[in-house]
Amino acid sequence: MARRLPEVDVVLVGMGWTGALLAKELTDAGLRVVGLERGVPRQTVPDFQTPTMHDELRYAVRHGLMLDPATETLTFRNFTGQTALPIRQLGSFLPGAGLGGAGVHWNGQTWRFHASDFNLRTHTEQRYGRDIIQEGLTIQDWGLSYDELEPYYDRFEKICGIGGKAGNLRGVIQPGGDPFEAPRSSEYPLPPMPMPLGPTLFAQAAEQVGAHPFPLPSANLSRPYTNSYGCHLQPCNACGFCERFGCEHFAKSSPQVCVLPVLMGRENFELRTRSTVTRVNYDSTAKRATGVTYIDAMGQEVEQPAGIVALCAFSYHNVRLLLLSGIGQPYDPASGEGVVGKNYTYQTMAGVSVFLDGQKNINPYMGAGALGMAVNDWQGDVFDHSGLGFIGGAYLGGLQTGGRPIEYHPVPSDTPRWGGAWKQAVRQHYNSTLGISVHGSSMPHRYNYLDLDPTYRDGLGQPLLRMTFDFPANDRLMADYLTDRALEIGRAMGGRVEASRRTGHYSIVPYQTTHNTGGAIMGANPRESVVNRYLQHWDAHNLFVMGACVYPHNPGFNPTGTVGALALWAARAIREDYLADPRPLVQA
Amino acid sequence: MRRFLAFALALCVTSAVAAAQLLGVDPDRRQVESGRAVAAGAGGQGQQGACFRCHGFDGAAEHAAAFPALAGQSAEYLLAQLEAYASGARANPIMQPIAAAMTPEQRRDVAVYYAAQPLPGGRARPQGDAALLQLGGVLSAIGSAERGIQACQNCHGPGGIGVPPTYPRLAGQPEAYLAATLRAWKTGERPSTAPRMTMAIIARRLTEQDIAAVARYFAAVPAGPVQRARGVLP
Ligand SMILES: Cc1cc2nc3c(=O)[nH]c(=O)nc-3n(C[C@H](O)[C@H](O)[C@H](O)COP(=O)(O)OP(=O)(O)OC[C@H]3O[C@@H](n4cnc5c(N)ncnc54)[C@H](O)[C@@H]3O)c2cc1C
Ligand code: HEC
Ligand code: HEC
Repeated sequence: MARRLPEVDVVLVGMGWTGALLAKELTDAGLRVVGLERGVPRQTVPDFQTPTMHDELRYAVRHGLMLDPATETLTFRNFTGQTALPIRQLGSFLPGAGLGGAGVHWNGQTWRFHASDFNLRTHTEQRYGRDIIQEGLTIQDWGLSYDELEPYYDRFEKICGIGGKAGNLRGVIQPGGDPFEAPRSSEYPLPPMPMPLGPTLFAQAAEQVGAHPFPLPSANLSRPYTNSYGCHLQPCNACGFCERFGCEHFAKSSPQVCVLPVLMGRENFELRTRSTVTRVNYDSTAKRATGVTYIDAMGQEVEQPAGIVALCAFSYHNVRLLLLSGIGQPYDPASGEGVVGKNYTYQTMAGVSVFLDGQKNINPYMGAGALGMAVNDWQGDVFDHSGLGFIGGAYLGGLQTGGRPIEYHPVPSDTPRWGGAWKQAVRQHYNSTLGISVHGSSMPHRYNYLDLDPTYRDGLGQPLLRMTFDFPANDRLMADYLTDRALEIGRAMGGRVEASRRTGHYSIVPYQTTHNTGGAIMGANPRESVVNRYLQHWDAHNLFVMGACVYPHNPGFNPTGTVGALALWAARAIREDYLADPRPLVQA
Repeated sequence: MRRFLAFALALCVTSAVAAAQLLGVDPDRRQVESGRAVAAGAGGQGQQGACFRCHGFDGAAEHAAAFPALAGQSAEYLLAQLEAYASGARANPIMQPIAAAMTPEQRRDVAVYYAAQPLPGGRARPQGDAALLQLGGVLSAIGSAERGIQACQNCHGPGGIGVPPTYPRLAGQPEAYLAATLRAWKTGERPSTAPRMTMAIIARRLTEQDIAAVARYFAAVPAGPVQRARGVLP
């Protein structure tokens, strides 16, 4: 029998980026909030300090800060008809575990989406007609516009202290910025970090081929900064241990540095770590969530009743919790009916290596997670897709994130994999090789989805999530086209170029990105989506679902800028609209 | 775009210097010789400003008088300090006139000379308040959660041995010098490199007790033997 605790106003499931933002915003409104976090508490001091934190083997190779698959994992297959098998070692993506979530060990590339992403179907049909949308692509509008979300992007950037250069201020194109970005109401709160040589060479070459390079918006701080919550951040010193590591310098925006300092210690906030939520309790007659059930640090089952439940457990974990709780109709790819698990998307990555063969010393060890230059000339719907046979696009990035000793040794593909010749090649190429990343969009496909696995269960006896995913033909065409553009830039840099194209089936093994999106998507009606434009569940108006699982498709950008903006947008709706009159904020 | 190019070039120059240091490229003989002459009194102030009178020809720390060690620091760091004294940005009644009286070449050469001196050996651990020493060690290794200070060794290297060219060595510096210079950041007498202002921010968060503790701790870390941090300057 679960121990039942007194009711609170809000219970948050997960205390990463979205949990921390909601906790701050909702405690501001005077609500009594409990944050349940599966992992351990951890803070910059003492947990992220060097030399411990610069242990590449422990943190980058062995995923020291990430979810241990022995705790929870998922099963994977490329297509229906295959038997999905459990992932026993993290690979393609690296979900966070512990206070701060993946916000602790992310890179910090912080983007806004394009206006045309928010009404993708309408926009695409208007510009090109229906035929460009390939059979099986289930793209749809988001039920929300860029202009509505803009103030919340702005707020999230000011919470993080993003460094960048505006390219479009209230419709006026700005030199040095991204001319293709959607209009911004204000400049970035901080200027970009100084650019090292590698990204500078990329930018010069991009200009040569007629593209428009700009500094990639970065959550690695370029200056000392006090954010809009009053938290103090310090500048990044480009140590090169960013993605997969916690930052020892208070210099990478994270829940720990941007939110928790003002949240912790509030009387109306309680953090409970080592608390794994197993389900949302749901009253299907009243169509309300009544709270959550979790397993506490002692292994005891506890019920926490709450007036509002928000799922902040990271993208696909939120989807699994909805499925385990039996809230909403699970998606069935055979009939196309149902919504929970529908439109699971990812990120379509490719890349180009440029070998300058010792002509330049780029010093790759000097880096930061989001340090680099990018171009958006072939992003989203910036370019004319007529006759190309695909929709979507990518940014091309020349980034310098850190040349760490174990994993960073770029060599041409004809190099032997070990031995003297390999060592010789590493010596030759370590300091003069540049990578261009193709960071591509991912379009939803009818047969890419999430559901509960019929066979495999976790340690608590609950079914694992099953992921069925392969890259749709649309995205392969897109990636090929974009890789050709990256090759042009690479050649203009004057080196030998080598492309790594998007070929074969999607593989769960090599790391690509932790940009798992979709599965509990937002939209204009309950037939096509799980949550409405305020991230409020159509079947339980006191249940809110945060994170990138609400994206109906994944644009060619990293997701967290929009994850943060949407959390702040939803928090505003809860505070200023929902609390006074709890109800569905959109009529079905 | 031009701005980024300028940044990149600046970084190229510093990193070429760093690379030369790491690879152990020898400094320019003529610079070392001319620097030694400055140390002996060839600077603008003559014998009065002869460095050796206070810093010795070996650049070792003078603990009783709180003269910092110059040996073991990078040429880049030493030059930056001499320029800051010369311009008045780093206020100090002794060093300011001495640095201002030198030509830019003399400042460069004497920086190269002292950076090329081998580190003298370690010294005995000081006696005294073990709790204070312990606090200094904690601040060095993990920082302070309460005051939002990261570990000193994140930048200054384990035990404060220094990470040339950017981060000076603290190990073995005189206790009184370390404390005084941290206080100078609190009061603004010592400039922090804009726009990052790293040490000013950190120093402002240190209490008087913290300053006493880190000064005691780093002074107690044996100075050597560590690798020499020679420098090559254009
Ligand atoms: C290596 C890496 C690099 C990245 N780089 C970038 C980047 O450059 N740009 C970008 O935009 N994005 C990046 N991301 C993605 C970014 O980290 C995520 O988008 C972001 O953290 C998502 O926020 P969230 O609140 O949804 O989830 P998280 O921040 O992951 O927080 C979820 C929390 O919920 C907890 N939790 C899960 N299940 C339960 C449960 N059942 N009960 C209780 N608690 C639970 C988890 O332990 C975790 O703490 C990166 C991610 C990784 C791993
Ligand atoms: C009369 C004694 C005296 C003489 C002579 C002298 N110094 Fe100094 N030096 C000091 C003192 C005292 C300090 C510490 C000043 C402070 O706290 O800013 C110092 C500091 C320095 C520093 C800064 C060290 C650091 O770690 O930041 C440098 C560099 C330096 N001296 C170089 C020189 C050179 C080069 C000369 C000769 C041209 C010279 N000094 C001559 C007393 C002297
Ligand atoms: C983020 C990097 C960073 C951290 C962390 C850091 N420092 Fe520094 N420190 C510097 C830099 C850079 C300098 C060189 C002076 C400058 O640029 O302002 C410096 C200089 C100093 C000096 C002057 C040395 C001299 O010879 O004059 C002292 C003393 C010092 N630091 C003490 C500390 C202490 C104590 C801590 C921990 C509480 C600390 N530092 C943490 C970057 C750092």
